[in-house]
Amino acid sequence: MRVSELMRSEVWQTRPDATLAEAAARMRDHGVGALAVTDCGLLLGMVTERDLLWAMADGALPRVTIVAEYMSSPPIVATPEMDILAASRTMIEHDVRHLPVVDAGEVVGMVAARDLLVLA
Amino acid sequence: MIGDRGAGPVLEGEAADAADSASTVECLMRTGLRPLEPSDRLAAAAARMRAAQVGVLTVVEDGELIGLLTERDLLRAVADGLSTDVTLVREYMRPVPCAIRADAAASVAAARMMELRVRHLPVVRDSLVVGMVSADDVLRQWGVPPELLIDEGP
Repeated sequence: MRVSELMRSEVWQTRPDATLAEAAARMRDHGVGALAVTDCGLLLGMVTERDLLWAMADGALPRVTIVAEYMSSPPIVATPEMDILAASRTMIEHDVRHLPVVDAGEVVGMVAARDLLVLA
Repeated sequence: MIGDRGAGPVLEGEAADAADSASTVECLMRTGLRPLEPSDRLAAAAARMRAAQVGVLTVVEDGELIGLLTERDLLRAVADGLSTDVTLVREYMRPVPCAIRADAAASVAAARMMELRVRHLPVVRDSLVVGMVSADDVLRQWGVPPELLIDEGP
């Protein structure tokens, strides 16, 4: 099975200058654990629950601190043709739970560990 | 899982201030999830996690909490190419990292999760496991209502 068959094609995004509070609210509202950080269509990185936890543990102020300070960059990505077994190995190897799916330089989807668990 | 024993070392996190009680671990944790047994198959564990919409289940044997099974453990089994219909929870569960007190502040839980590189902690009160708290639960603290963000200055 390929990543394209399992990925979610809606990719929730945030800008690098958004605040962590905005990013957290967006994650909560859409029920996702990661957002793609983009600027003018360019994928700069990912901001995930884990990054927000770091910030929280640091005592960062969520309404002042911006995403750029805590995002993971560069992102670890998948491609639509990638086999999902390979995608699961990439997640384990890089210790991430979300892979943005990139095709010809454009983000076309997102695949999460939870999505891959249909295999389990 | 209420009343499970054997949660391992309890972190002496500082208790949250009374005024801040809405952000204690106790207010955020999930309770009442049926634990797994070590002899359960991974496929059954995956189905139960999906049904309960959680990323972790406790593993209990003879009333003792002996481990946790997370989504990540399931993903490891998948990445290893194993059949989850055959593989047992026992083979992929992980030891219980550390527990956190029910009256600890959410930010303390966040710090422990980062320190231990885990997304879930068992919650204990009077040395009994009373629930589980996840990274998602802790971060709910930070979910600022969008209507409050609109008039936020730059």
